[in-house]
Amino acid sequence: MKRLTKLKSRFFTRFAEALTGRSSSPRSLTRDRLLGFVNMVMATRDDEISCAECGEQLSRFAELTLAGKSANEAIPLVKDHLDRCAECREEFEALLEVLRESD
Amino acid sequence: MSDRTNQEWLQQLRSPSPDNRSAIDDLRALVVRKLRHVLGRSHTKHLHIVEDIAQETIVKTLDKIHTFRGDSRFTTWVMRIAVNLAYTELRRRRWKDVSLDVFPAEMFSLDHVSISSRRDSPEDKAIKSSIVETLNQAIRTSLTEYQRQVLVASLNSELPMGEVAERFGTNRNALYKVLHDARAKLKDALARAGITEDDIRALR
Repeated sequence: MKRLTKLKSRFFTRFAEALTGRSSSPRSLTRDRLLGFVNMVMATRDDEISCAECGEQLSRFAELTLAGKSANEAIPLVKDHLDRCAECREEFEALLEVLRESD
Repeated sequence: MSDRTNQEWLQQLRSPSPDNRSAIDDLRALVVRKLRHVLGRSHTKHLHIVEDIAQETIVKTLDKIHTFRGDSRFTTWVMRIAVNLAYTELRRRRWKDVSLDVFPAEMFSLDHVSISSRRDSPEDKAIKSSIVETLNQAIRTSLTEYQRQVLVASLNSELPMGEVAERFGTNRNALYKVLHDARAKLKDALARAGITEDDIRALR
């Protein structure tokens, strides 16, 4: 019975999605997410660095950023990774906050 | 406390002596204070993890100290480790009850997601359906089974990448590489299908 209700509600969600072109369920793949994904696919580069490689250079990148120097130009691949990776970006922001606080 | 030079930190942390002890204690105190400051802004509920994270940071710092390249202050390098450990733990706690749907390859299709809109011209509609069809095909035939599972699961999930990784028994770094390689294959497939960057940019 519960299962049937779930199936039904899924059917109506899909129906609503089909009508509006939008998804009301945050856990399913939405139109915006798919478009975002297509853009990410297209923006793929051979020289992207991984989270670990970004992490290795992040302390220097953060210090350059706070010193007002052009960190993006000095270490462009870190900037590129931060644009792609929400978690590394969140940690970068937190590191800046740490450094802004005076000792 | 943190007025040691990089050289002094390295020297005192590396050599076992009474100085070494106090360098470790000072470093731990610094990490605790800085983490309290940054978590105090938006994660006040989780301030109790700070002591454990600081200890973990010390262990990792001593383990990795030979990889410090000296291109930043040593304490900045240590805080990068601390922030990484703290935020990884915060995400783990936030998402621990959320499971990940893994879709079998034969069930996979993007067809249920309509990216067309009513305002689309016939040309727009054609390009969009060509993009979706190309991606469907490439996801089914060009990716490895593992790439497909990771890609589809993360595409369908609200979980952050590190949490997706954990559910696949791997870590965020390895998952990033898997997804990068998958994206590269899909990009090739789109290019082979004659879909250009301008086509993608024009999508609305």
